[in-house]
Amino acid sequence: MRNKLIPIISLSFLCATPSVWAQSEKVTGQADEQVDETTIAASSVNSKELMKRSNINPANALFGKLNGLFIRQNGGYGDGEGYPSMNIRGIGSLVNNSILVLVDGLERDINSLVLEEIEDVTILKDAAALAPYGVRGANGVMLVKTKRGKKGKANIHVSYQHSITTPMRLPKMVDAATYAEAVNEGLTNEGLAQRYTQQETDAYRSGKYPTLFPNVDWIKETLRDHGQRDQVNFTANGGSDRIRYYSLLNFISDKGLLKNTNQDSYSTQFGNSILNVRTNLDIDITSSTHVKVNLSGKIKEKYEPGGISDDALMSTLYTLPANAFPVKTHNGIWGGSDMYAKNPVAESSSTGYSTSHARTLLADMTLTQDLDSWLPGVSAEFRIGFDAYSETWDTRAKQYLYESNIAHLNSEGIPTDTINTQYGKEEKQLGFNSWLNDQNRHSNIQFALNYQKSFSSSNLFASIRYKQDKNVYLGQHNTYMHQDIVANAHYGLMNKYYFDLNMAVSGTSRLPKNSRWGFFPAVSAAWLLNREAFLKEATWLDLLKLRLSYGLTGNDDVWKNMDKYPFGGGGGFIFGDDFISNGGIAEGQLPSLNATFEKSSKANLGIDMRLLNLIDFNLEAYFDHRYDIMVPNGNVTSGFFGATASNSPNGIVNNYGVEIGMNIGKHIGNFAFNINGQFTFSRNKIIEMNEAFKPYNYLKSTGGRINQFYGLEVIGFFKDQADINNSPTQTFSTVYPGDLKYKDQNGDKRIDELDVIPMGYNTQCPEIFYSAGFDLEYKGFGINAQFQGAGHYTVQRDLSSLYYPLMNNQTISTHYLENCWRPGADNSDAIYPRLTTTESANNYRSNSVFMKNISFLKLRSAEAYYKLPENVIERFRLQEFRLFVKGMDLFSLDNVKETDPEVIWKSYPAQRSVHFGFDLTF
Amino acid sequence: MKRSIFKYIFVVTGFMCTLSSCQDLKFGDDFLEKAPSNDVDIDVIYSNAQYARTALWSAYATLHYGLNLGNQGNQLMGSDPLDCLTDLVYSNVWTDGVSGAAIHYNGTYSADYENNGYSSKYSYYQRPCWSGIRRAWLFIENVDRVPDMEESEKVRLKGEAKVIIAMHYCDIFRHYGGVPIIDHAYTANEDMHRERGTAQETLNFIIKLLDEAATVLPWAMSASENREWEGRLTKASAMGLKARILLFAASPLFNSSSPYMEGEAASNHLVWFGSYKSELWDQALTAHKAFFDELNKNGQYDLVYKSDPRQAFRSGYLDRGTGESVIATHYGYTVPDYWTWGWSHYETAGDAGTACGTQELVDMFPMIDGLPITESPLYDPKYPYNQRDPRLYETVVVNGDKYYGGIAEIYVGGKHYQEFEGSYGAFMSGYRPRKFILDGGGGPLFEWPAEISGKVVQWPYLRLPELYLGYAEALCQTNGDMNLAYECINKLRNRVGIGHLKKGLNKEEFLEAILTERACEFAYEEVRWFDMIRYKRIDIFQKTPHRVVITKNSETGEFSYEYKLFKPAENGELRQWANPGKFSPKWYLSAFPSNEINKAYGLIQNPGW
Repeated sequence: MRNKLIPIISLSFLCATPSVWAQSEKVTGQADEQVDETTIAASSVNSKELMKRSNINPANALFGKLNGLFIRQNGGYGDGEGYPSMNIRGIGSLVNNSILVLVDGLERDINSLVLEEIEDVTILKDAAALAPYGVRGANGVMLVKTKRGKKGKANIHVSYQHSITTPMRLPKMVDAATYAEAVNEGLTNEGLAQRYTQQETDAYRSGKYPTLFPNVDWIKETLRDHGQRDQVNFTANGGSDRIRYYSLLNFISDKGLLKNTNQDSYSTQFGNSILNVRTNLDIDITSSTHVKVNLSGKIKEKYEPGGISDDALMSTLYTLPANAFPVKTHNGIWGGSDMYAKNPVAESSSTGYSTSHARTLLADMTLTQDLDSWLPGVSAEFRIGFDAYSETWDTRAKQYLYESNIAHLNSEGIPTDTINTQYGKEEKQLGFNSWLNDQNRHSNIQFALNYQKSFSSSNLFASIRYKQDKNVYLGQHNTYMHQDIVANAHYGLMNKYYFDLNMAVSGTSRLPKNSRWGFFPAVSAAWLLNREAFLKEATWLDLLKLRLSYGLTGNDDVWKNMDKYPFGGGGGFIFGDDFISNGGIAEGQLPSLNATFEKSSKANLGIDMRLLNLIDFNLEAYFDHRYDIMVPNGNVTSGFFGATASNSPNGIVNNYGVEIGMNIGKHIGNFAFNINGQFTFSRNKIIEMNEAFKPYNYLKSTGGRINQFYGLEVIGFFKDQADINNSPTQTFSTVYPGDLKYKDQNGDKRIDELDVIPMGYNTQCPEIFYSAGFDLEYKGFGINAQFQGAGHYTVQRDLSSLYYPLMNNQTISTHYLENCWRPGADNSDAIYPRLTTTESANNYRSNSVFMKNISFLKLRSAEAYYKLPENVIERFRLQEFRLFVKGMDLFSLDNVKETDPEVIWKSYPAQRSVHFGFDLTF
Repeated sequence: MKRSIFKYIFVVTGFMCTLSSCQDLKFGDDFLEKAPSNDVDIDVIYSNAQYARTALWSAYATLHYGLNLGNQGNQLMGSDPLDCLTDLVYSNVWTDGVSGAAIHYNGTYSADYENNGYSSKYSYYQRPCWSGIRRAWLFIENVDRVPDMEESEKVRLKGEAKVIIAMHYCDIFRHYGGVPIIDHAYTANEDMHRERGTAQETLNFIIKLLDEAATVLPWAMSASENREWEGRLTKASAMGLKARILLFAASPLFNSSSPYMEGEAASNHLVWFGSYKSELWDQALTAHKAFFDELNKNGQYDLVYKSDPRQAFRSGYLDRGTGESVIATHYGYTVPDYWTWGWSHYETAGDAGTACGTQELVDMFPMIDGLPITESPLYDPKYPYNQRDPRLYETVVVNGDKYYGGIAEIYVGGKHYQEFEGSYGAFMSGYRPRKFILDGGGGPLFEWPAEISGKVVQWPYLRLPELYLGYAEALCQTNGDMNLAYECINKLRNRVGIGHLKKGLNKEEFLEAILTERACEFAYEEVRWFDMIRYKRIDIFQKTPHRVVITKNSETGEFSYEYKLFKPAENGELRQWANPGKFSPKWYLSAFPSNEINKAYGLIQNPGW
């Protein structure tokens, strides 16, 4: 009993078995009795749940798994997939909302791991759980725990999977003839001469002169329809009384979406080769002396074309018109021009290639000494850790020759007078360049003393821990140190009432000497009602727990070097009769004399329930009052002051919300099932932010929400000139029929920036996240699926081509063309304003047409598997053999049809994927 | 048991060795100290003469430069020159939100516009006025502790810093009137409630700074310094600026028996002196006389003379170090890269049409005999550009003049002709600017290399001719020596080889002649706007300027001239001021940003805003 107590209540310091309602464990019915003692709010997910997805970056396996985690998928090819954005319990700070991620108790990137080695992931949400993290607790903490060896015979696990990845959605752009017509329509709308003759448009449409009047589907020419990934995993796990081990070897090879990548001796494909290794050892040196050693390494090579990054390439594919130039001209030379973006096919195949080499080492060691024989109930712990990371890039790039051929059609429609211009040069040799992109060293030291004692009807656990760590990144002013002394006391009374007192004294190097230390106390209590006499009769009630917590946490991730008074670039002046500037040095921002960390006082109420040994229910409600947020003084400092004003801790934000979770699961003979559902909502309110004066209340951010969308309210299109004359003057640009007509909010007969009102929701983080899923298994055959959605999220759809078409010689999406105002047409269904070939200051601005309140529901994972029956596998001396096929992000129900609802920008697309493979254990 | 203790010691030793191998192991507060870094703070700057000078150069960097610098710096007036708000110049570039002309022409300029806009004529938040003043004060307050700088250099540099402060105050005084008197560098903790000084207090403050500077600065840059250091401020700069600002202050805008417009700022004497004070004209006269006395004694400043009067005039405003500029500011563009943002005046004024000359401007230039076109027998409406003041040809490109190695053809069908309606272009008024741009340009008439290519140029912040004309004006206003006054004007006419100003003008006519002379001399040099406001010239503000359309008779080869209004203001958006009831004297001064007013530290808005 005593021994089992430790991991649970020391949760807040180390990464330990998650203590609260964990959906998946209920499937097996192995709910740990110890769960009941905790008084904190946290949620966690175990390996089995995580492995339902298959990701290179383990953070991408967390969608819909942790109630209270606000996680958004991102595009980009970084590690074969984007790095998701994560917050815990919404947005509470005006400055920085990033969460602290700890792997095995030390601050580390979750992306330095692979999914297979993770035992569980827990997020800590309330003051009781976060106060021990002192100045870094306020934004929430994620604990990742890796797997450890279990005593017993060696257990070998081998798995392999092959994956096919396809873009979630790519926008459709118009063909060459339609583009030419759209440009002409835009020019006509602007009162300018048309650019394309009917003959030319016909030539684009007929495809008769494919190199002079081309019609190129650039996405099709540049991207293949899928990428692929292979992953091999090997783990060994076992040990004796004295030594237990867990070892892992994992290799991932990912290949991206480019076509035309095989060159003579190299490939220009986007790709990653990632090797992860790990050994976790538990050594009992004596019966009272234990050592843990964790060693992990990651070697990653990333490849990409030499001349263009993933995001730049996608930007070209989104914007390049189909008639810009042919892929290759009739001379066999790359097509190109100085008018349009570069030829994406040439850029992705003929510019050489770049490789990055990243190396990660994570190492830590823990010595635990039980002092029970000298000091009853006392144990001591000592821990060191050292991590290192570096990334270098090698570029082998080259240039290529390209040409433009501009032809005119004569009266018979035959091209004449072709003007040929060549650009660039054909290089055979690849150049070479190499640089250090990033590096990081991180060292940790911790000491702890633990004490526990049981009394007749109560028990006490207490600990005190000293921690310090130093994180050194590339560059000056990029080293961060933290130091904490954390004390904790847990007291349990009559197995019904539990109390925790957590305290941290916490210091940070981010702040000046006089304000770098803070004291963070938190109190919490839990009451197990189901053990009370008055509920004894209710046998259907397995658990009913009421939790309350209140305390203080901090956030030091605020502006850097606020106490400094820096002098730097201040322009220069040219003296004398030449062009040579005499450089000037001027003062920078004034020092913030009262710089401090943000404080967050958090209150949490939680209810955990379990009924009929079948249904789990969890409810959390919280209120987070964030104050001492460093906000700029510029808006309230007299203009004649003449310097960039300092910041002062005047910002105040309240953030509140609820989390509801439910899980129903049971084993009945050969049949097991589990159904889960979660919902969370979070909303903030800015109480104070040193805002500049606003003449109208609706313009004020104070009282509103962080990242609130502001825009003009569109009340239709201008029908004709009379309509324009009779409407308030719109001051952004001269308006014509078909332009957006805005509502005059302040009634001054002028439409300007003062008519902008808050609309929609947060532009960075949805307010609502929800998810639901099920598991079914019968006689070795199983299926499961997990859905996840979000709502109350707003974006300004300002992507050129897709939403802001034609300007800067960019193309137009079929979506826009089909939905825009057309002269002379019935425009009752039109969504977007008239076509223009230049940027329309009136139309292309934040307004209710181009904003979108986004809500979506994605199928995050769906899996079917089959475990071979025991009588079969025993013949092969196997413990388990499992075949599976799973899909990720297979579809999305949403109100954004043109692109992925979470990735509305021009980046390498978020992907859907299908995975086939097997797991083998022997 | 023994064995386990041995093992225990072994393991603990292992840990300790690991620990001690961390070279920078510290505990307690020391651990949280940041690594040493080469932070540059104020003590570092003033520990060494070289650094200290760079602090002053950063104050120089804030000085006003009147040509469009694009994105690279003080993008005042957006892409337009200040003169496009006068009757001399017309901007037809309507990139909304960028064009300074647009927001003034269509009347949308407001106190709210100043909050975020960067295209107003002063651009309160864009112009580095207060930061320049602060940099200069910080320099003055700290330079004494520099160990390795000669005392004489400290004194001189402090004098230059004071002129910098005064220059910023002169600029803001002419756009806003009295403003808060900032006589030291405020610390962050200081009380920052500071009301506007009255017009008189602000003027006194400027005069005091300039007088103090004049006593310590050398009259001019020595010949040996000039090559390397031309552009530094001198005693002549201080005295010349004093003369300019006193002439402005003495003018009717602020010096009158009634304010130009009623309002709280007027009641508090922030935008006028409270009554007519003839002594202000005396002070202006004295300041000009003091300048010329000093000039006669020390020389070194003079007009540029050359055998070709056009080249003389051109060199006078354009070339550095000639001695004609009393104050010149320089900027770091690199000619000849046309697309370099630092020199986008080529593009906007030379090509796009932000600075088209008006017929009014052209008509101001006298004939070569010195008489206005309305009076001179030399003027033939069939050949309006013949025998004119050479300054005309250097100010705008006229039809038939030399242009880019050939002849300018600005007639319908001609090589350089541009339709006025519905297009951009520097030729569309019939008069492309030549001042500052010379030949060449970009866009459809992309012609390089041009005369300006590779040239070192300057912004003639204060040119000697302005002091001659100011002297003449002050003499006239104080009923002083009119012979001397005529002499001052004719000095400029002699340089370009045209006839003298007609004798025997009455006071009113003489003052009008001076304003015209100033227009001819200083078109595109930010002089006309202040002339219009200081004499409260509603008549000019309410005028829609004209352009010319030239047609060539294909048979005779003769040109005919049609003078048209710039776009009439029928849409209610072009040059609103010309529309009945649309002009108000509030336009004389700029509006403070409403955000600044609402900070409630005592800043009072100018009348009408």
